Amino acid sequence: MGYSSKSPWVIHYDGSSCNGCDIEVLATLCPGFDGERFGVINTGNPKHADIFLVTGSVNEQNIGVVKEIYDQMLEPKVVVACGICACSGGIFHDCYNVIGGVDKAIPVDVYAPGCAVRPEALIDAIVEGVAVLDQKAQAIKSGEKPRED
Amino acid sequence: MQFTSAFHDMAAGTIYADAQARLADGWRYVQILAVNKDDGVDLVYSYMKDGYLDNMVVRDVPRGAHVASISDVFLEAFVCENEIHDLFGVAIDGIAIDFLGNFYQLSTEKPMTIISPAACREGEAAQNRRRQGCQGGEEGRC
Amino acid sequence: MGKASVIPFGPQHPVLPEPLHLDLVVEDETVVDCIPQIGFVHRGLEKLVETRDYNQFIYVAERICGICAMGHSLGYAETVESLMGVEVPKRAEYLRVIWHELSRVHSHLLWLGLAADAFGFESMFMHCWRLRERILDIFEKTTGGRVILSVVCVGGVVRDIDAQTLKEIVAVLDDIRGDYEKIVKTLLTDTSVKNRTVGVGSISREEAAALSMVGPFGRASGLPYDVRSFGRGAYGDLADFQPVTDDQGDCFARVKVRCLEVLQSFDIVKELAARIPEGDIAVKVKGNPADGAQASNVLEQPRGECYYYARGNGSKYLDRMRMRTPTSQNLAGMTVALKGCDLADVNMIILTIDPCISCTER
Repeated sequence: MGYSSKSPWVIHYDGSSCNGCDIEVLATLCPGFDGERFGVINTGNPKHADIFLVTGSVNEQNIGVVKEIYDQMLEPKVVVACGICACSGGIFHDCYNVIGGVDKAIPVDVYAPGCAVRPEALIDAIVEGVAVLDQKAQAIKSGEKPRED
Repeated sequence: MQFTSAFHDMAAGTIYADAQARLADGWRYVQILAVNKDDGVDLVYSYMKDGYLDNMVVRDVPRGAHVASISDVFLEAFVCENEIHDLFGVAIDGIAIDFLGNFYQLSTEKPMTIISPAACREGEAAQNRRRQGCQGGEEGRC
Repeated sequence: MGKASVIPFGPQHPVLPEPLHLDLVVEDETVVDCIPQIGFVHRGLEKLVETRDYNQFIYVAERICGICAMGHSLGYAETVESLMGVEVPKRAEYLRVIWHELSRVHSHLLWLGLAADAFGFESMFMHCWRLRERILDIFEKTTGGRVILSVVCVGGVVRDIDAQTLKEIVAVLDDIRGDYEKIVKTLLTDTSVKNRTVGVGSISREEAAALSMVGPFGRASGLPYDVRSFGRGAYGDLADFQPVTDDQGDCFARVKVRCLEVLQSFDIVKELAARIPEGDIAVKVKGNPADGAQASNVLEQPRGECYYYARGNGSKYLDRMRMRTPTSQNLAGMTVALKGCDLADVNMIILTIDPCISCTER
């Protein structure tokens, strides 16, 4: 295990979601599923966070906000798209104001589908994200540039 | 207290006077909504008193027409009025907190007035049925 | 006399589960004005009536808001049933109300946890959400989903709850009641909670009436309006129903009203589970809404009165479906409550309104 993957801190943002996935994200960190035993802490500061949990299909007004939080995070960083709306737009993919998924705004590393995404799936996604975080940390250490897309 | 609801027609010019009269008479403001139609917009103003929900329908407001705001009578109407302006393009004069078109930042202008191809088909089918004089409803299509 | 400056609050903020932007005009540490900016969750789903027929749209209506999901599917179904003149079997009405009241419990517990977190009481947040998991287990056992239930259809409900499961539900509620009453006692008698909430963000009864406030937000200021008092559906069979009100109108009153409403919902579920009639759980709905037919409906969601409107055009697609949610009604009240407060109290006041921005913007 790498350095940041021992205790990945997450930042959560609701990118135009219905809230279902957001409350499941919070439920993952609460006693029922206890994400905190893996060292996961929910922080509000993008510069403290390793993993960015985004929910929601992202509308026009929100693209700038999502990009801003992503840009402020420091490398290595991982983005997890929580819920089917964040993966592909979900049931709202053909709405007029929706861009259709978080990967149209920022690069996504892990997709966790579900409506609403289940806390077990989220823990799984965070663990996958942690593996990607390790790879990125390794790449930075050996001098490779982080992904530019 | 029982709940009953009713729909009545109202003229566009009496919107403001009606709101003032209702405030004086102890009615509660409930909401304002708009319905897109082929050649205009219907506005529905809803008020409630003692369990009676009164929906006042202003039919066929032409596009680009100006309508008086009721937000100086009922401040909370500003939310619905800004939304109707942004989504349907109805000009509402004198909104107490006016976002001047920036209530929602949208990817398309007046999106609720854009009739999608699917709705076009359904709209034409409905018009045909109206011309043929049948109503749909319980027995299904004619 | 301080200098005025503008502090932007949100859309990303640890205390806010949803994106909401406020421009707070402050002089020193006092908020003199507050200009909200919403629109971060507007998906435009009301336009989806053009491509989803009236049976399919219920799945879209549920996903307006994950917290009030049951309420929206119920309100939508009731409105379309009123539009088409469909009468739902008694057993279905009882089941709908049982799920809806459990949904109110889960929503208030969620809110209590977030409110406690907002003024720093993180262990209370964890306790409330721990109890809430028991309610979500009930949902999962009876419907298959924790958050989005998908159990209401136009004409009734999709699944039944058998007598054994109803007994288990009542047993769970009795079990968590003891823990829940301890939480409420802590919240309502603790001095630090009182210091943070008493007298903060007060709205008088006259102001509340002038702003047509709804839900616990309005009831905490003394307005006794609750749609459940109209006694429609299974609510009409309750022995007695009185809205929970308080007359102080401050944050403490709003916390108290919601705490007591959870206990009221426990009692409602128990009463209905004891006398639920046998029968069908749905009727078959044939045909389409008549051309030009209109229907309007109100429902008491956890956050207040929600208004639904439907118009038909003779086809299986509705001409228009509209929901006016309680938070959009309460936004004006929120701006009034924020004027004159300390900057540090802004979180608390916003949360006691229980804003559900995804509901407001659809």
